[in-house]
Amino acid sequence: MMKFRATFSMVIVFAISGCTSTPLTQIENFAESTAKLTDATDQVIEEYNSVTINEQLQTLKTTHFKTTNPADQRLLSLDELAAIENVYGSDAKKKLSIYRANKSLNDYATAIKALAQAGQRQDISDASVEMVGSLSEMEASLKDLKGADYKPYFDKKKLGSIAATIDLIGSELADSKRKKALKKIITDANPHITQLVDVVVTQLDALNYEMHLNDYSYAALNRRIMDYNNRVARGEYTAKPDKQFEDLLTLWKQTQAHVVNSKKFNHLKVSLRSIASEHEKIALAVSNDQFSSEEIVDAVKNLQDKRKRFDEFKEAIITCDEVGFNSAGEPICKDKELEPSNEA
Amino acid sequence: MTPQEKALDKAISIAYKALAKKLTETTSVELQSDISEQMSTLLSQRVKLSRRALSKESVAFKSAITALEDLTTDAKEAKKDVDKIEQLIKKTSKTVDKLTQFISGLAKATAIA
Repeated sequence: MMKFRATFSMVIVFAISGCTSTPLTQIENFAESTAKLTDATDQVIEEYNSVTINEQLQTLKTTHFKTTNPADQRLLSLDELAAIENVYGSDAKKKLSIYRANKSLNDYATAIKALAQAGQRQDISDASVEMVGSLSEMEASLKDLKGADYKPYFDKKKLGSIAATIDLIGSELADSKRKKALKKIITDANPHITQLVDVVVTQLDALNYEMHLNDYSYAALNRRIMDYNNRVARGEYTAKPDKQFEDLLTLWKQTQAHVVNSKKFNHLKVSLRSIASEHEKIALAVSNDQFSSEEIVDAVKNLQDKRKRFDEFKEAIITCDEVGFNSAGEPICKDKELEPSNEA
Repeated sequence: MTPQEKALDKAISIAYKALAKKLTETTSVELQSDISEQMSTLLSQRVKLSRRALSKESVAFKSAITALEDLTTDAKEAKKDVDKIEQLIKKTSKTVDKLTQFISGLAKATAIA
């Protein structure tokens, strides 16, 4: 009987797959891209915490050194170490508006994605086929029960027609409910998305992350130069000229790379702003009942491109061996020939 | 961040970088340690400033976040509503299966009798 059900299912699926309606893939993709960008923002907050802790430890480290008089030796204490803490601990972080806005955007993106995926045609078709398979089994049982008096209630043709009808009604109903809900939710959410994206970007600006990162990167570079000078003063390079050159070359590369960080950050802000503008395009399209319009396709494509460029750029910075400058004075990765885009 | 807070943060930045540069102008570890202590003080002030700046939130923000949270709940409820259609069909299948079992049992009982 199971074999019959499987074969029958295949026939029905084949019969009804020809009239599949357009899925709301664009909205799903949009939500996915938004979720990834809000994740990237969350990482920036984490990175900010980590960078600040690192800088506090670096300054503390330089205050500990071997003195000629042991009585003058500065020793590390538990209090001193405990005083160094995250700018935002895990509890404090959750109360921040940037974190809450980011989480809200992420939750929203996840919820509309789940809604767009709900009651998909294929799932309803599978359920319809399953139900018709059950009816077919019932028919076989009735045949056993009635024996010679048996007259078929449903032949295969009728069962196929029932499956197609259930599928059609179910899918149309699900599609209609889904579109109606998405239309209302996306349209109503639009002004709030703009406002929250604005809060996230404004608060990222308020972090002064670029300036702080630049300061800490500059301080780290100067500490490395200080270490180099100290090694020279101690005569560590006297018999090792190659090692001295190697260290100098490393310092030079780090000096070049130092400028690049802020670009990565700008890229994130541009990508975040695009969440609001692309959502606005989708809201406009769905308010006109255009669930697979060119506007939505373009909006999603733009957002995905921006995220991809951000990912590529981040990857390039991490793996870049030789940083240079283009004619506009912007940093570029020479070995990858990748140039960060300023396109909004 | 207010303009005054931004100005203060900028002043910290200038002082911090100036001190960092001073680290390269001496090989005295004592002096380098003194400079680092000053940098550490500035860093603590900056952390306080950042915490304060990011703790602020506007009324417009509060209403926007509440509205979006409500709409997210609506989206979750709507998903459940859409899912009900598929669940209803599945539930009907199960009912038919139960009926089939009953008929099958009845057929066996009739055959024995």
